[in-house]
Amino acid sequence: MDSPQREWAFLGSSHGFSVLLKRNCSISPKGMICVFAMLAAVTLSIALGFALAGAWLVLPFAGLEVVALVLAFLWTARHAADYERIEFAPGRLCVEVAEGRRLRRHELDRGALRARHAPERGCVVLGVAGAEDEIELGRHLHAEARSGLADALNRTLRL
Amino acid sequence: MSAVVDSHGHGHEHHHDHHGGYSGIMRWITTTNHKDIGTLYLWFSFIMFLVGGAMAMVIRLELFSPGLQWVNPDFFNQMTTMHGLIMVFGAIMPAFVGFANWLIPMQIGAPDMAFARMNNWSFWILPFAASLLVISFFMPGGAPGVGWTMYAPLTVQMGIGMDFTIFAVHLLGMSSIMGSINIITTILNLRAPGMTLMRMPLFCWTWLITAYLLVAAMPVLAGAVTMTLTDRHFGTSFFNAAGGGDPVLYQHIFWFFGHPEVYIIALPAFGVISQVIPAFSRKPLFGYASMVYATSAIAILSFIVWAHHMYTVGMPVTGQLFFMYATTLIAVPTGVKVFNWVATMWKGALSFETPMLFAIGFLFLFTLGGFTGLVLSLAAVDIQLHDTYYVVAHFHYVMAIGAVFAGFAGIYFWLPKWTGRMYDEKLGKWHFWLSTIFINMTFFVQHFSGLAGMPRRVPDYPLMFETWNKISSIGAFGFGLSQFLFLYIVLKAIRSGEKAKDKQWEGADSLEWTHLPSPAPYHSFETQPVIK
Ligand code: HEM
Ligand SMILES: [Cu+2]
Repeated sequence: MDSPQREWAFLGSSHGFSVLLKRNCSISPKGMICVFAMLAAVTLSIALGFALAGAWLVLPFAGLEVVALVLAFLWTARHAADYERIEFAPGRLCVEVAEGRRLRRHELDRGALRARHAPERGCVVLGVAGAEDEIELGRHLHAEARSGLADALNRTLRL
Repeated sequence: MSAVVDSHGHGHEHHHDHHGGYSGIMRWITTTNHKDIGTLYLWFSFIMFLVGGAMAMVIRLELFSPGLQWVNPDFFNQMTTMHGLIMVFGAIMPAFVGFANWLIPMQIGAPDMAFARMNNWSFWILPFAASLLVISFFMPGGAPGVGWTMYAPLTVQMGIGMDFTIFAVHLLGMSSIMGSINIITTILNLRAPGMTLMRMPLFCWTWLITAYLLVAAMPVLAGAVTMTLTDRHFGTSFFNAAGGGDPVLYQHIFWFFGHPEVYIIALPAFGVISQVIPAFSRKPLFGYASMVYATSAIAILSFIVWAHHMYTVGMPVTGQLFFMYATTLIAVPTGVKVFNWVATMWKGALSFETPMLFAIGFLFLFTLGGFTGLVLSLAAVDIQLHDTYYVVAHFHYVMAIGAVFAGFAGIYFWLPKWTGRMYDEKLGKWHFWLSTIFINMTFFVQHFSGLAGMPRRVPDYPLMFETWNKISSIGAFGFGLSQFLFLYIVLKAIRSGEKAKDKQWEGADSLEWTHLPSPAPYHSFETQPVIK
């Protein structure tokens, strides 16, 4: 019922495959802007109507609400387009992590690369044993799926 | 070649231990889990239902006989005011927000609400607001005795209890707005793949539209009470005729909020009924799309009818006609809904478990309240009936019976899913029949006393109204007592109810029944189901 088994698209193959991990957003940020803007417009025009009738103290509350709507929008939109792309190429592994405004690209030598599920950090850690540099992956997944991702990565890396 | 693995983003703060790391009372104070918060809302609502109900008992006790018997008129007014405010803002609204919290994420296949932390704040504001309302009784001058509509200029003359009430209304409004933004974002953004808007259970639709109403209406209420506050303490004269203000302006502002508010209460009730009736008719809801459109139409119309509460204030005939036609127009989409519910039952394989009984009770009695609403919408008639017990009967049929019965239907319906245990069906039926008989005893006779001219919000009345009032009071006591049976049924189910099936109701078809066990696990749909 809950937590079904995932099938990782690159399982059983050594290169030429990629996986894209992203959030589930059932509306685009654009759609969200439309909805929230409409709400803000309705609220503000009601408040404006009352202000014209002399009851201007509705306006500040409508203003506060619009601020709340904007904050809520920014909060959802900031990470709406986040994704992680993992691509296997011959001898190499390319990882692209988009987070908020930042886009990071890593190209790694597959040689000593290992993936490890790090529940305490809420992600899968990809790196070379002993080395400093590590890449965090799988933040959009829940714990079970994350450990599945780590296993699948390791299996594929070893091929 | 590539594959897309959809998954939700809840990232770092994810807890896999059961209750976010705290136990005991701290679990409830810190929880961001939508099921915990839904439970909190529902229990809070029930407590407020008892508090507001106790006030109703005082009112009915005083009105049992003509003359002044138990309380002084001032205290009587405080009772009616607080009864109204607590029932509307403390009991009914939070009850349906509780349903929303429990059900919306499960019904759309989301792991939780969009803003889990804010959800916690939305709830925990409520106990403070409720305390302010109750504390106002102990202030010099007592609680405000202005009526739940808080009309100026009476509000200007009240003691400090009025300020407590104003602040409480601000807090309640804040909570509602945060809740609404949360619900809108959740429904729009967190639906599972395949769960298109037009496939959502109707309960989600009614809440989406209700949340829009709240966002549009709440700032108006906040403004209204703030202007009352500044008139009281800061020398403004928004509503004070002596200073060039206009008390009627207050009424326009209040009812511009107030009429949408009645649909903020009614729409989620419609949503619950739209889940229950198909389940016990073992048929899909008749006219799903028309239900969505009718709900939207009601919501839009609810903003252009407010002055039907103000026919007696004096307005031009064109104004009366406009508000009268606009108001009667609401009966059309409402009629579509009632028709669809009846058509859903038509030739269905009906069974009459407690939730269905309450749903059918709702259907009859809410519709009756709708009919008296139509009577009142006729300006010429309303001039006779305004501020009589006829109005009290009308709004209790839609709110105290309509919304409350929908609440009961929903609780009996989802209790097996929430707790994993079944309630006692026989006692549930007793609860239904006792409630139905007593509540009709309470309110049906008020149509008669109202038509005969008994004014509302008075502690005393002429002898000619005595019989109706006696019947009404006895009904009210009976209804009040019957609710302890309800409490007992719920507690008994939680403690020692039979184990519920995952799909307790064979006709239920939303995700919480088809995709989740009973009780629903603390974390559900961490991976979206795919809806085909
Ligand atoms: C067909 C739908 C409805 C119509 C035509 C209608 C019409 C009216 C009218 C004309 C009044 C003013 C009576 C007066 O004060 O003289 C009124 C009062 C009221 N209605 Fe409705 N109504 C409808 C549905 C509802 C619903 C669904 C609710 C709540 C769930 C509701 C709650 C109230 C309340 C609370 C009042 C009394 C307000 C007060 O004075 O304290 N009504 N209604
Ligand atoms: Cu109204």
